[in-house]
Amino acid sequence: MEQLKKYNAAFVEIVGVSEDQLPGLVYQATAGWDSVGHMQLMTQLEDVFGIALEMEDILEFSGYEKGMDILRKYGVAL
Amino acid sequence: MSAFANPLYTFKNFTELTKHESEEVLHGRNDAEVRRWMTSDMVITADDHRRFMRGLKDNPRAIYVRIARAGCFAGVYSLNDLADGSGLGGFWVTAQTRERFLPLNVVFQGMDYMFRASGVERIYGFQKLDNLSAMRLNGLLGLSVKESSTAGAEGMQQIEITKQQWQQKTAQDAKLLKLMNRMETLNGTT
Repeated sequence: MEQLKKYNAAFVEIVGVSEDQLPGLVYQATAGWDSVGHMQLMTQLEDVFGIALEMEDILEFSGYEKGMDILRKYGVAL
Repeated sequence: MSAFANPLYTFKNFTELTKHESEEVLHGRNDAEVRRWMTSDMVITADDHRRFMRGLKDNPRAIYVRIARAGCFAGVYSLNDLADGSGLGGFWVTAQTRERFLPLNVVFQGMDYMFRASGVERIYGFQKLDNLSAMRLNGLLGLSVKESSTAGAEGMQQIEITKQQWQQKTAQDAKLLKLMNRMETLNGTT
């Protein structure tokens, strides 16, 4: 639960949406999640969870739910 | 040497471009995503492009630079209305740069080159208040809103940064450096 809070907080801070807008949110659906925002989001998640994402995963990180699946591969309990 | 210096990036004045490089610029400039944020979204014809390029040779008030990363065309940084050490900055990046999450890096390198090579002491610009991507990018690059700004149309905001502020930023902004280095590492040297 704590991990999910951190995950959501990163989105809210970087993408600039409220928590209730997160389910179903996909890359480039909002101005805050453009290519620069994506970069910031990835590095924020890396910092928060102490992981280093592979390029392939950064490219496949296409949405809020998809991102959870990817982070689970790195041992993040979401 | 600045921690941000990166030999992968090279710069070439528009007045020195080969025919192929010039055509790449025209193609990139006519990309719908680039045109969307320009003053006019008209497609530029090859003739107009050639006229514009020729005109730059006799225009001391404008510098346009083609930025390449690892030899591949990545974007353009320009200074217009050069006067009294100030220039109106502008940029756009290629689709490939966007797809590889490198816009920040490319625009940063373009600005850094201009501060080093053009002699300009201040870069200013106008950002559309509905262009959140550009506003975010400008913020990361240290361009701040000019509070006493009266210029610019409705829905626009004047922003600026001095060479001194830029030098301070590139000496101190560890967070920006980390962000940019992460993307460079992920993209490798090709």
